[in-house]
Amino acid sequence: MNLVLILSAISMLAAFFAFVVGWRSRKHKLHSEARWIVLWFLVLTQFHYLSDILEWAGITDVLSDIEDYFEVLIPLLLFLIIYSLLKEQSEKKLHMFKQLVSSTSDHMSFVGYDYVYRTVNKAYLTAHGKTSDMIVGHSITELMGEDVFTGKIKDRFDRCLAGEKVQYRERFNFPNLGLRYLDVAYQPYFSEIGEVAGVVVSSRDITDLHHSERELDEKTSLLKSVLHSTTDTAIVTTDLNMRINFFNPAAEKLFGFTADEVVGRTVMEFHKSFSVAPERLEEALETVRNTGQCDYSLDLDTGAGFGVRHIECRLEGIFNSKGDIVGYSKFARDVTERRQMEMKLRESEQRFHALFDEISDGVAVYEAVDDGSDFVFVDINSAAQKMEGVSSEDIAGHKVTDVFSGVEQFGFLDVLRRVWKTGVSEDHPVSLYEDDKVSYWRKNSVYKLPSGEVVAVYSDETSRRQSEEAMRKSEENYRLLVETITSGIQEVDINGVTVFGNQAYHRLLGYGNGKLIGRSMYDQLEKDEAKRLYDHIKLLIEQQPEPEPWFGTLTKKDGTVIDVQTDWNYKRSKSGEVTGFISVLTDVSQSKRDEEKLKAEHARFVTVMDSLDAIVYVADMQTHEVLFANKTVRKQCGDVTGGICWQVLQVGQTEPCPFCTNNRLLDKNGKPNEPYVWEFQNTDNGRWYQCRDQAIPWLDGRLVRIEIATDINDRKLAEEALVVDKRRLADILQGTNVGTWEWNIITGELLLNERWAGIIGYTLQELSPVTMDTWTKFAHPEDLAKVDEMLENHFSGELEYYMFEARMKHRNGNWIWVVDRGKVSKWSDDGRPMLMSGTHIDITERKLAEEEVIKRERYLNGLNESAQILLASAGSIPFQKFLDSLGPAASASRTYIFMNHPGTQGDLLLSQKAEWCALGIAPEIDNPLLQDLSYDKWLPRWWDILHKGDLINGRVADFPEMEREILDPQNILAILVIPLMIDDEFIGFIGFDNCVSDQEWNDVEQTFLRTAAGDLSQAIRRVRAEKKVRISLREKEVLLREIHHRVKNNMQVVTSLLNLQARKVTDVKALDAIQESQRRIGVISQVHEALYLSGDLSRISMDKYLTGILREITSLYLDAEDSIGYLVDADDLVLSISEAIPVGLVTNELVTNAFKHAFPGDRKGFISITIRKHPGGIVELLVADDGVGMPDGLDIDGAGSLGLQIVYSLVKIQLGGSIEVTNHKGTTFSIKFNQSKDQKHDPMLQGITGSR
Amino acid sequence: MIQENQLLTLLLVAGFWFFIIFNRKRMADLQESGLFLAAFGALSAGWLLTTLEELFLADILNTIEHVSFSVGSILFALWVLRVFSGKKEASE
Repeated sequence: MNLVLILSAISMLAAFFAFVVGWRSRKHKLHSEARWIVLWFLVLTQFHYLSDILEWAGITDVLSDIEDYFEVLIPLLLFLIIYSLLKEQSEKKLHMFKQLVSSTSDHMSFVGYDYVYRTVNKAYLTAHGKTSDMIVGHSITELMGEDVFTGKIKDRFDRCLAGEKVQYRERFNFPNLGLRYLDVAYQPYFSEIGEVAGVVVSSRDITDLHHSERELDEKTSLLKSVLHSTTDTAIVTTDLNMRINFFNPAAEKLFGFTADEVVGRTVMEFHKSFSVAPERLEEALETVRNTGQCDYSLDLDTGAGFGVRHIECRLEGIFNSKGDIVGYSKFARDVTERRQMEMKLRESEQRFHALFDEISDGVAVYEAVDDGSDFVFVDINSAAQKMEGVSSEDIAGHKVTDVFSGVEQFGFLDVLRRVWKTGVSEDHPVSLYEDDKVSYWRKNSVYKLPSGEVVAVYSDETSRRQSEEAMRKSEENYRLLVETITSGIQEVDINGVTVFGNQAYHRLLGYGNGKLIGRSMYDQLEKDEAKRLYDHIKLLIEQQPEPEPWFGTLTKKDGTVIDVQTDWNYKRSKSGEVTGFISVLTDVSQSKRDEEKLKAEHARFVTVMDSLDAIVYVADMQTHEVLFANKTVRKQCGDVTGGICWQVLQVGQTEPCPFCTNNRLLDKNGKPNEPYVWEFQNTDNGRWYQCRDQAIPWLDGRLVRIEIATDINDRKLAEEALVVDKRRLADILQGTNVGTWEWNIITGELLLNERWAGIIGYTLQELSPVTMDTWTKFAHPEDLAKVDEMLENHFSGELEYYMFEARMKHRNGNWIWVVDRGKVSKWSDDGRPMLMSGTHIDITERKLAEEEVIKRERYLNGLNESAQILLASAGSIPFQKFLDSLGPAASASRTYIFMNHPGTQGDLLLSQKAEWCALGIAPEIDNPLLQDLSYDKWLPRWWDILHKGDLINGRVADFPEMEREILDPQNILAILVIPLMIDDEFIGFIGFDNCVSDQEWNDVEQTFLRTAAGDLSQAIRRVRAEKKVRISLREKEVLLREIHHRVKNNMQVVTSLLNLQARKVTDVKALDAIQESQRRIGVISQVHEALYLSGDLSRISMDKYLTGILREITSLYLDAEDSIGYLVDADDLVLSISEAIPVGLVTNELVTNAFKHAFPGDRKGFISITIRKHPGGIVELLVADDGVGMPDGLDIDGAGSLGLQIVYSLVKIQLGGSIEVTNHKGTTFSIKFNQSKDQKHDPMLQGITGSR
Repeated sequence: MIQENQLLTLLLVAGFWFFIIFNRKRMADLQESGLFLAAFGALSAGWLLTTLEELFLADILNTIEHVSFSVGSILFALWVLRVFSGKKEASE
């Protein structure tokens, strides 16, 4: 027992010494209060044991009495030790929390239940730009203002005081930081007795997060828009097993399935329903595997009511970063309309080819060769083949100069070259073509086609030219006759002014040829004679009797007076009006005076007659004896003088010719009539003659018949050919279904053919009598003014042809379209148009087709524009813009959107959302009746139809009375209503009013407008879905940030665990190893901290990160901090988490090494860390110090240092880079690696990128 | 015979143990708390036995009492040695 006592005393003594040593070395962490209590405890226990020992030793028991009193103090001191230790612990924790609050970047404040600030942290003061005195002790009202406090804060504050945790997001305009977005949290502060003593207000600056969220929303919206926007291309994506995972709206429309129906199912299931052979898909997939894509086409009947559609498809592989196929994407486009248009084009081409072959004019198509110096035949039509006597196959591909050797001299080749070069159409006038084989007249019109080919339309003018030539010759003969005849022939106008006089006439009066032209015939008469002749002429003009010869005297130029017989003949205009006279003057005085002279004259007459090419003979009118025959007769029939005319000049006549003209030559008084001109085909030689027969007095005074017969055989034949041509042309016109007209511009007469009348539904007889009024009656009033203008332009020569597309009223009441084309065919001498002819071609079908095409184009444009507006929309639907673009295209007076919504009674209501009105149509958007309209009450029939997805199209007059009560006041005559459906849910409708006519919308229009309604429905669906996605994304981001936060916290826990472990470790090396590990974990922990504190959850700013690591390391090497400087240059580089962690660890190892070994003793130095990105994605990290350098021959991977082994492994394995060490004036580590191109490889980012 | 100071000591110790049990969670965080409580427990046993030896089994209980004081002293000495040598830090 004594030993026990001594042991206790020794123990306490040892404790006392330990206490004293510990106090002096300051290795303990106790406050002075606790230390003093422990000291007193030790002193008292020593005293206690000392008294016991002294008592036991029998030295003295005095101390025992005192000790009894002190004994009570020992447990008391023990308790005080416990109490002071607990108090000290509380103070430490409080201090630690204060430091935490002070160091956080969140704005924190504590506000009491009286709304007065108790304390605020440093971040709060910095953000508000105030000192603690300016805030602490002041109420919220004083700092924020009464309005802000009552409006925004009080309610939340009171809820928090009631124990509820309140969180919200707020915008706040800080004096120093400007406008920032904050996440604010009110946390009730519970006192130790469990009562709420105030509110801890913490707010976090999430401005960067807010901007990132907005950017993320915009990008997500854009991506969604792109995927859902393609209205003409169906997009379907599948996985490797052809299981569908995306199906855009265009695909829904094209294949007739909704995305919900197909997503998750395989493509093969749908191919089976479309009867597509499985082998086709296998072939396509094989092609995709080999080449990456495959194009093919399909004919599908999707059952959507569009019949069999022709689909062009492209199948492409979806590749991952390694180049392996991970799925397929299919792009399909409906090209049915395009195919139909191509077929129509081919039919049109065939029609034009038929026309080409059936036209009566020759048509040849040429293609330029040798740069336009020559041309080869491409094709010629049937008419051309007939004219040239060749077939199209014979000359196709041959040069025109080879086929027609005379074409250069013909001048046609130059025309071809000019037209080919300039593109300006040109006419080649009627010209004679000659080569060594053929000769004919041709007239060509040459045009250039858009394809570059040249077309020549030509006609054969040979017959007409021959006819004109013959007529010209005949006219010359007449002129010669007139000029050579001995009688004076004079032509005077109605005033007696000579307009023509032959040589004989001038000679008769002694004047030179032409001298009397323009002079009055009365000038050659004495006054009395002139008066008598004037009266005679006046009588002829006024009474127009059969003119009788006038006998009188004329005074010649030399004053000689002669007796003359003047035979008058009227000269009339086409209308029969007398415009002058032609007179034959005969000097009868001379015949009277000298028979010899008469004979001589006769001889001259014979000479003249003989000189004529025409047949001239004279026969007795009674006996038919030939008294004279000119040389031409004699040449053809021999000397027939004295013979009987019908015997010697004709063949097969047994009596006077039945066509003898004798009875026509004399009037009933037996006096000569006017010359009788007639045409006759000779019975002997079969040739045609124009005969001019007249009774004249013969030498012996008897009346004889003189006949001057001009050979007109060639002209006659030409005329007959002309008649044949004309008839053929008429037949062609009849065959081509072309209406013709001929307009006498002078008289206003109009000639039409049967087809002209048939085009407007009448027969020609029904339109008779045909006048210009017939045209004006049936033409569209608006077109008449334009027609007049075009005609004026043609008459003035500005237009070569008159051509106009005019509307005419058909018998059935419709307006039809014709091409009215014509040309003046006859002009007056003074250049006025006299006769015009032209054609009517019915182009109604073409016009209707054009109008349909224009209408469809308008619809397509409207659809396209409205779809673009919907695609560009984000967050909300721009209804008004949508209607502004669709309305004008829809042929509607008014277009509007109604949306369904529930009523207060549980019934379904509809309200107008937006409206577009055509010009002059009254808007109804402000009509109160069109808001909160009940289906049940007013439009039950509409609900029945629309909610099934069907549309309403009809005349309002046919609608039930109840519906008309709403529609009639809006002046709606016809209406089209198309439902807006989302996944079979009827959400509203788009409507189209026709307030101009009661015409309904046809099937094609309905299809277009249904498409627009479908686009709108999809846009509404997309906007709704996007809102859901945005909310989901925000939640995920918060979750990810929380995960980073927890990872960081967990790492801090690991650090703390290592801390605990370290306390139990005494081995310095082991302790160092644990501390090294703690630092490494700290480096990784900083990455996660940086991620959840930054706005970007995927990348880390290397500048801040590396600076943080350096700061951490330097704090551990306090001694070195003063003598070693450092610099971080990260050049704004950001890296992914998978790259940032190894870079941080490598930096940590190398810098720690430098601190440990590069600067032994008091050596001063500098450590620099540089990281930068080189072109090509190479990132270089340089860690350099100017210390003592590495030992020579150090092998990094084999180095004994764990740190360097870690560095080597991280660089080689994790970063896949290289490491290089330079040992010059210190040590420089250069680490290079390729920056990851695709951050999707980062496992930490898979969740995020996958969710986007 | 039981002395007044012994009873007073016993009462104080009992009160302190209530305090310790009440604050046991905070106690666990104290530096070397296990050693300290063991020392306090041994000393408490000593004080208790000091009183009890006056009632019965005087020799045995007296022996145990001194052993208890001795153990408590040794444990306390160890606590002082550990805390004041600064080898371990208080848990956070």
